[in-house]
Amino acid sequence: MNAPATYLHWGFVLISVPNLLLLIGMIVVFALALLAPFPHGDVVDEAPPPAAPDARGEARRG
Amino acid sequence: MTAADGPRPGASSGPPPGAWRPGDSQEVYYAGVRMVRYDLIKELALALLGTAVLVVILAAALSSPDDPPVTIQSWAQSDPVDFVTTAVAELSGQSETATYGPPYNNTAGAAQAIGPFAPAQWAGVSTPIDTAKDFVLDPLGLASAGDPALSSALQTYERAPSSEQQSWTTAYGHALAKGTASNGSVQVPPGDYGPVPRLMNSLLGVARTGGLDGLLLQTGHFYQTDYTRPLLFMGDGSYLPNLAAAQHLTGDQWGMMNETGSYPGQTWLWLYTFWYQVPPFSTAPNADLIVVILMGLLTALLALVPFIPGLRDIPRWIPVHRLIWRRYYRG
Amino acid sequence: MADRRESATGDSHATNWTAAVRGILERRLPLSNLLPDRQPYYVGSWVYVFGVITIAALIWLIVTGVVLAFFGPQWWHVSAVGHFVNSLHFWAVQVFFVFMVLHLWGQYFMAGWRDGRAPTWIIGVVIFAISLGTAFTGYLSQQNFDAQWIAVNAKDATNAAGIGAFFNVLNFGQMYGIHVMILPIGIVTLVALHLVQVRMRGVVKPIEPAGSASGAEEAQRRREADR
Repeated sequence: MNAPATYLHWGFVLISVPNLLLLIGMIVVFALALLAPFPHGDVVDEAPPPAAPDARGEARRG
Repeated sequence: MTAADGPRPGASSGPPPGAWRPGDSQEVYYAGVRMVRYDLIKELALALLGTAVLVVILAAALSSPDDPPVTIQSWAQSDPVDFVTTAVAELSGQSETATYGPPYNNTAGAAQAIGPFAPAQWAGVSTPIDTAKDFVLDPLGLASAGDPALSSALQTYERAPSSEQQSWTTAYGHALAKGTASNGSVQVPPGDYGPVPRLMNSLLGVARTGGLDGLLLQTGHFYQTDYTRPLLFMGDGSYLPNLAAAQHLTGDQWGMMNETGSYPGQTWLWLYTFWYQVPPFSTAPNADLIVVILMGLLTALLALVPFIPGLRDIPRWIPVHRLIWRRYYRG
Repeated sequence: MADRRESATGDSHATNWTAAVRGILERRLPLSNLLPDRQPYYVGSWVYVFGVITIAALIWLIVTGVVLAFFGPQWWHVSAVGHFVNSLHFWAVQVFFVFMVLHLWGQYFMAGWRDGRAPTWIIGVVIFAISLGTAFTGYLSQQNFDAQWIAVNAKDATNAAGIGAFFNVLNFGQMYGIHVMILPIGIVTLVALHLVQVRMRGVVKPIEPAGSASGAEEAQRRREADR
């Protein structure tokens, strides 16, 4: 790891491979966090499900 | 919400009936929302464990960067001609530090400014540095104890009129382009340099023993934690910047986000270092001041995103939230 | 006499500051809000754990930083154990920043500042800014080539802005003190405030199509009960 890093050069962009890997890793982790299933806890308070977007009028009836 | 102040179905103004109102408790806010068990403390404990495992593995497998510091001694030994060239520039007042302006000295017009906005000028000279005296003449004065030849060369230089000092240092500075180093001293083609070669080779000799590293920190106090002088001196040469350039650490190499060796650097500075790569910043003489102000404004902009139309609406337009809350949108 | 007894029950908040503060805390931040064991059912994504991972990394940064500070700034250059502790500190910094930025991305795409949560967002940005300064002074405190070059290179920015007059990046002692003491206190304080703000208001609701009305009737009933 003390050997000089490889650098990639496109136009004015100059980035080291370690920095690029870190950046790609962040994007991958973010994408995985969006897509991976999350363990859900048990329902403890069964409230009525939120009204559908078209139920605006209904909410006012009370 | 009463019927009077609520919006009519299809009305385009006013808050929707379920909208949050300032002062609402969580009870109110979560009315009608199904609640599930969630263990925040267990989550923190697992996060602590997970990050510990990750960090220990990374540290054990990859270690961390630690290139040894450059010393005045290692510089003088590795590149004596560059050391002497820099020292002459310090003596003649031509070096970068000597002409820097605030906070080191009062060089006219050196402080970066945007029109009348000149914060460096306003802040003034807080760390006064006289490069000839602090980097060359004072250390040589200390080193001349028991060395009559050096004492007399120093006296010759200090008593000469400044025009003569200037002509010696200028001529010697030019001659150093053809300078060669051997046996711990630097030789140049013959010329009228007065006592300057003698002074410079003495300084080189002190530097090569490591003495100058200590003499530059000489403040009359015993304890020392301020390395301003030796760092400025080294920064004026080519040796330190060349080592940095070889590791892609200079400003025009996105250097702020790079690291020695094959380690990730301060990638979080990508935007800060980006500006230095593109015009007009890459060529502006006051680029540092412009970029500092620009980054300050951009940070303020980031903080104020909740109040900026457009910026605060992008999350509605890009449906990443539909993935995060897909369970909710599924109903 | 009757008035005094009333104030003890918190009735005259207007005259007793302590009772007033307690009243606000009891209403805005009851323990059940500070340490809830339930969350809205839509809190079910790994995006929600980026913040807590950032805090975990911060805790390891403080632990390893305390060890490094205890043995002094030269220790890790000459001791194998010290170098390992420095490596832990180095990688914890990387993990800290990676997850802080992921947390920022997540909160941005959730528009986490909605429904009165702008102060939480703003404090978060301030924590990010102070973290940049803490990392910067940390890199300057390394006492190696990296630190030397960063100091020589960075002085131009601080000097140009006039900051260099009182914040000298070439002064190791000043940078070290700021890194190990002043800025960490700022970060920890603001992170605590950030957490209190999050727990005080709870997590934000999902972004909905304009005009939707989830639980409006129930909300109004509870709102009236609150009064």
